[in-house]
Amino acid sequence: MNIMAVERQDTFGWAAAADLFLGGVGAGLFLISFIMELLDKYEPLARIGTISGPILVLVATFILFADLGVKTKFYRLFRNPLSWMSRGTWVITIFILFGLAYSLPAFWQLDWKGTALGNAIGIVAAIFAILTSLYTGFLFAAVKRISFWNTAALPLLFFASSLYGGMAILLLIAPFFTASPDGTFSVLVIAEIILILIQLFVLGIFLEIAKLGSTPTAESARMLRGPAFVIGVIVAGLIVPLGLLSYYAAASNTLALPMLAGILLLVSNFFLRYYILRAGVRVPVYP
Amino acid sequence: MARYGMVIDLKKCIGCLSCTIACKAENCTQPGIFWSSMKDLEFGKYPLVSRVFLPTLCMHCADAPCVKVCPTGASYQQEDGIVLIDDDKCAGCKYCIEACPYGARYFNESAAGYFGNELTPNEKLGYQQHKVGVVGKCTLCVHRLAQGKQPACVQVCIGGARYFGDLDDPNSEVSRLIALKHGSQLRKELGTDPSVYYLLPSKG
Repeated sequence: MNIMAVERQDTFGWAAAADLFLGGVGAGLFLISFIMELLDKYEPLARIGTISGPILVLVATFILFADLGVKTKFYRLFRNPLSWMSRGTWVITIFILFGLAYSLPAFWQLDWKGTALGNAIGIVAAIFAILTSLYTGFLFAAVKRISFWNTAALPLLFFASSLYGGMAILLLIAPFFTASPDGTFSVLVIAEIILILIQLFVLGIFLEIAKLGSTPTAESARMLRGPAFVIGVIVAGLIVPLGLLSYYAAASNTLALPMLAGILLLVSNFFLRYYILRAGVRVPVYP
Repeated sequence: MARYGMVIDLKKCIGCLSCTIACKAENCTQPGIFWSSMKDLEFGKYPLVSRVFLPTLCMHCADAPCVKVCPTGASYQQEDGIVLIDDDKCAGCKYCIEACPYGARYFNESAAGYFGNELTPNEKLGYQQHKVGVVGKCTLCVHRLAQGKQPACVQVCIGGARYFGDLDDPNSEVSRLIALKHGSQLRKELGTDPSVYYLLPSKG
């Protein structure tokens, strides 16, 4: 049998994973909170979500900034519209500006929620929240050298991760900002159960595509079959929280259950992205 | 306009690493950074084993992925096909390092020399051209070309394995070698159209 040697990429590590995680869950958090605001049933939780989302993305941007080799040249990242790095820089900048413009005035008695201008700003921010959670997938999918990432399924995976991650934050903070946690909670819990199932479905497709792919892609998928990813991310980070939330929805009033699930989901969200970066392998350069 | 390129005859390469050393001497790159390097490859099983030395460098691809992904516009391609990086524009995001299919790009992590932080007089002079925090790569010795000289790795190759010239000129030595001896490009399937061709030991 001809075994092809592969080498692991070492350019994108912890900093990139932290950037993906905070940017992703921040965008997801804003998007879900904005929808909750439109439904007008979940204040003040939704308001906290709409302000926290852009702030988390701002923190992610600082991590990206700190990882730059020449920080004073950061403004040049906007220059090439053909590069996903440039497109992403535009997307997160617009999201942060519009997200904060939508959510911040509410803290100074200038609540323009419900007004035409406020809604327009919110909708622009929501569209750019979707783009923020998608673009990182395209950023890595554009790296042809690493076939594991070079797939249309990666943006979808990151988008699904952003949604369940954003909702996980809401599950964690809801008891502190909701007057009657039970009513709100049951809806959030059921929504999160659906988002986790979507995430498991997309992740399954992503890994199956990789398994059936070329040798380096299959090698990446094989790397992810180790205990850290299977037990740590899939079982402890997705399936156990799914069980906790299902039990809460069916038969429990213990708020600790969804909060514990929220913590596990957030930890898994970070490591999901970290391990996908780590599993990026390439074929060494020789004929 | 010419499109500069290189042909490397693997049958003539003896793996002496003089190209690597010449590049180091000419471009004074930091420790761990090799714009020109060498892979020592073995093929087959005993007793039918063959050994090939594969010199590598930036392929100066006609359709360079590193130029496409660079967000700052620091990576660019000259009309003569040479792919360069403008140090003054590079923000050091490292995206191009992974985009390059040939692993030809390096991040200038520090300004330390081969003997620690105390630089030799040569390093002091040479490191002025390498900013810390930016990405660097083979320039095909563009400064030597401007003086009418060949790239340093071509000039020093003791096996005469390297040929440099205009790929667009059908009568140039490199074009004739590629045509007559079936020059191959590395990872051709990626569609980047490298300007470095190899003459494989089993062909021609």
